[in-house]
Amino acid sequence: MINFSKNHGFVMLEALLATGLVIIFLGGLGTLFTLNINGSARVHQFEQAQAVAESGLQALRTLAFDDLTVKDPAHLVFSSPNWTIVDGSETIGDFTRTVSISEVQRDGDCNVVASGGTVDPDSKMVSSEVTWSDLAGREHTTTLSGLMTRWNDPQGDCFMPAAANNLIFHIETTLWYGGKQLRELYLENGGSDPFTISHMTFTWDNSANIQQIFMDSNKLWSSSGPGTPSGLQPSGTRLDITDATINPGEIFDMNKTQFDSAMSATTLTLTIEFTDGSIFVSDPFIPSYSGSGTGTLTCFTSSDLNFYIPFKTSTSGDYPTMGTTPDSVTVRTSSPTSSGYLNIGASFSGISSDILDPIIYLTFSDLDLHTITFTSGTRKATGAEAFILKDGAGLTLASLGTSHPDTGSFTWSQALSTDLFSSSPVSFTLRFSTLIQLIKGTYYTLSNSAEAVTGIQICGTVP
Amino acid sequence: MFSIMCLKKDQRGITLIETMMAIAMLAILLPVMAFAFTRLARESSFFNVRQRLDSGLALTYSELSSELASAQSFNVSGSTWGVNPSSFSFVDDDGETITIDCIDDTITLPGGDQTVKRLRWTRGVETQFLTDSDINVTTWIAQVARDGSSRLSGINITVTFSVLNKEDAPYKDAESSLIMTIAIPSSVSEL
Repeated sequence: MINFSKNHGFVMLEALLATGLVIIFLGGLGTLFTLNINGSARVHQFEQAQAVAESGLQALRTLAFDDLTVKDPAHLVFSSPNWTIVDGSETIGDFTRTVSISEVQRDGDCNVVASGGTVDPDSKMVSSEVTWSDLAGREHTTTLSGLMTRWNDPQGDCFMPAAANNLIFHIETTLWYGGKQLRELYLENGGSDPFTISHMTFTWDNSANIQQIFMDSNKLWSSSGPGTPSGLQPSGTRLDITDATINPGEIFDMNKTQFDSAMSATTLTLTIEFTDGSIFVSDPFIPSYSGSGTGTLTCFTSSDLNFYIPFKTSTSGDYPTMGTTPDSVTVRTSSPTSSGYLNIGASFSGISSDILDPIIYLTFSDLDLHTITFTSGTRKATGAEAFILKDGAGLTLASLGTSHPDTGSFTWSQALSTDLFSSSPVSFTLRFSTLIQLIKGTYYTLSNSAEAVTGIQICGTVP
Repeated sequence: MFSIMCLKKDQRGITLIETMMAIAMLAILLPVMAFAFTRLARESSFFNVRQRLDSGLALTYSELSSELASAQSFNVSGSTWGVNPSSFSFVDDDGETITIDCIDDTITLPGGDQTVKRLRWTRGVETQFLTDSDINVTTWIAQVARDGSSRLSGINITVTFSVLNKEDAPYKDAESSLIMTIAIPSSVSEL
């Protein structure tokens, strides 16, 4: 049996003690929680301040070296498209940002020193300082600094003149030879030290590809080597060429720099990278156009064509035996697809075999290259058309399908090889095809409408 | 039975007054503590959301700075500047064109589908989002910065991130903004 005789239960003091312990425990827990949040908040504020400071430093770096005037304290103001530096600091949210630009001193060995050196006219120290107060009211500061230099156009003695500044770029007589070959683009070393070119980047405003780069008789890059990347390259590709050294006073002709299609009236730029890290970027230029030295731009026109593209194999064939009357097809679940084609011959006579940069132009009317969906009630079918240009021997010269950006009525052009014009007349086959597919339902019947190709021309320079 | 009744005569338990005092103290203290903890929890939650937004901004800033520092060329004329949302493209060091834009993306939340604006990075056929699906990019305005000689020298991006919650409302109005300036090296040509 349990003896309860000495048991007095809780007294007031015990109740107070227990409550006090609970308060201390919960209060401690709350304090820890608060400290954790405050600590995280401090780290968070520091990260934000770093981002604000970094943004300030980056804004300073957008300024040209010549625009960096000594100023402290200052802040940045953006008036599109320029940043400017004005006196005083600025407030960004909870932060105050101040930027500064100061002179840099260097000793006799061109090492940066805090004092006792001489001011380097080619260097400026830029800083971005951010201050803020934390939740407890304590002030904090973070500063990011960097050195900006005029290394590529030095006025003092601590930087060597950059190779890019010694390049003299001659485009006065630059021309297209044969429409595809860049000639008489001269690079001259106007400095007193040799420099070496390591990379070149051409840009141009058409879909041609670059095939090779020459400097005098040296091949620096071509689609099959030397240099990288290999293969024909589009505009803007940075080409790692065989290093080419130009000695002081030397001039080289970038002759035989060739593209794979006609480049007349094309705007070019050339970026040249040197092994010292400097970069020359040319202004845009348009070489003059000269086929084989003389010639006039002439176009040869063929008759317009009107036709119907068959929907079925049984109605397909060569125009005008086929394709002169409307066609229709019914696709069913038992035979859900149907296709047809029409070959149209086109020939041009009187074109000189000496023609340069020949281009064929075709204006299509209602050529539905992009898939069209037809619906009738709950039934659904799709249809798409395609086009192939073949030469007289039946070889495909170009094809247009669903991936072509245009559809319906549009004008299309294709550069042609001069080899096609070795004999007259020059023949082509225009092949149109259709594909009809039943998507939903038990059947779908479709009829075609007239298509047309107008303005069929071959243009080129004839000596 | 008899012996138990005898024992109860000597026992002194909790008096009514003691019980009432303890209950009264707890009644005063517990709501105060509960209120304090609830407030702390709410602040902590809100703080975490803010921290996530700011971290997202910092990460985007870092990624874009890194990409642009190694770009070959910048397609200024083919980009959309000064509007919300802007888009811009550049050619990276591998010769691939990268486009950064801000598009509508539909995400499914327990409260229903929501449209959220997300930053998209496109390189050729490869596409990925730079922001999480529950971060709404409410402001994305890019502007070209030029130096005194009109050379393309940087871009300024005004960006605001806000967080969505399940109830189709900005999470306690949590949003974070930053004006990012990214300097573009002189080696980057302008298209």
